Amino acid sequence: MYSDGDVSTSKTVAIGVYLGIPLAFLVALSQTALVNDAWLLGVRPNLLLVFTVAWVLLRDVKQGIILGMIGGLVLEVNSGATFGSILLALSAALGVAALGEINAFQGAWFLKYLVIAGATLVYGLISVVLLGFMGHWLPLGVALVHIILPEILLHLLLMMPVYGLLLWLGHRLEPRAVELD
Amino acid sequence: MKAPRQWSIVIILVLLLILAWLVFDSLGAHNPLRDGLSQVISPLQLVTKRAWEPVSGLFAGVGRMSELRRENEALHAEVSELRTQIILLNEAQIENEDLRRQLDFKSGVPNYQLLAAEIIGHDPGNYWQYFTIDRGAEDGLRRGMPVLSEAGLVGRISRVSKNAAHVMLLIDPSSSVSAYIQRSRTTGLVQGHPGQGLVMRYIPQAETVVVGDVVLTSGLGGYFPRRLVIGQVVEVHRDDVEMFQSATIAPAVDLHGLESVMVLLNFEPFDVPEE
Repeated sequence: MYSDGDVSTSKTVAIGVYLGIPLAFLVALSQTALVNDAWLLGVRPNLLLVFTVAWVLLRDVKQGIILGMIGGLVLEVNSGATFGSILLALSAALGVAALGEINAFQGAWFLKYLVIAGATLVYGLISVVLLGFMGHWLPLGVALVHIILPEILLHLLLMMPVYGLLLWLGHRLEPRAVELD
Repeated sequence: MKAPRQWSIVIILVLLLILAWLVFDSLGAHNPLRDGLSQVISPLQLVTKRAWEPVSGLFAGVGRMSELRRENEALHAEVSELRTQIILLNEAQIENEDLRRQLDFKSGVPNYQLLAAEIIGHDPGNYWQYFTIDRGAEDGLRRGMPVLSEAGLVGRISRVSKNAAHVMLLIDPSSSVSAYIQRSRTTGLVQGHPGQGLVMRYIPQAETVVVGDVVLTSGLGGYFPRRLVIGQVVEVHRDDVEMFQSATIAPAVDLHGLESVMVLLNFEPFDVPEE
């Protein structure tokens, strides 16, 4: 949903998903092919997470999960982790993003930053637990200081342009709903 | 009622896909689902990477102009020095070969058969450290083969599909390499550690390890050939109550700046377990 007008008609939802699927594919492809050049604070950003969280905040969680599944599958093919790890962590993080729709701060400017920080934290914690199940227990303090907190900072920086771009795209490509009395 | 039913179908399909994927993974080295997806994604990754390269190079060049100038001057000086060293080493090699011939020694220099490969994709996360190369089973690659760069050891092949392969980097948490310190010949195990790079463990307390020590592969276990450069000690962790000391190692290879690597084809790794 957009904060400045409801566009949740069936037609716009369809446009949203059809627009989102190639975008999610492109974002995931960029993450595997290009993001290695973008090391900052010792970590790489998770573009797909930022993209899908912004999508959930602008539209709804169902669309976000569909896009997350498609992008997640591309990431899984390139990942060394057990298949399903990325999809699981991403789904849980999007669950956090969905809380953004139903909380007291809805519409507040800082909500997107709060949500991306929470989603990154959940994604990171689940990844640490999965790593542990694979036999590589990583001390939580080390994971927080060296990976999760730098990721949160990086995602906070990325959230503004990604959210702005998706909002702009939505306004450009989709008609606004008109009430007929 | 239509929406929940559609959702149930999507969720069931995704769960079935995950299940099928895991079953194929457990059955053997080749997963047709992964191979199929990989065949679609690999060419797209290569195209995306190649399309981005000029833009990325331009931005990097402009941002590092003064640094590049200084680096260029330093490299010029180093080239002159290295040329002199090469001449001296060539002389020493000729003399060495001559003496070996006289003593009838077999050459100690390994005859590596290397295959160049381009990196087309990276592991998307910060917890696992893998990358994908544009060579696969069709090029003769097999699981366990060591992957190198000019500077030293990079990792090993962990998964092979028809025309692409996954490389597990030294800094992945699953990676473990038997190693020794060149100066003292002390052995240990070099393991990857998320967020901390490489750590050499199980170094006996009685041994002296100093910052700057060069670490090489020991060849023990049969996963890697002997004498490949891993890196240099940058920090030593010693605690009197522990049985062993450990050391943080800076990899010899800039693992995040790599664009191409070489696969060592004529090394037979000892029965590598499934990742």
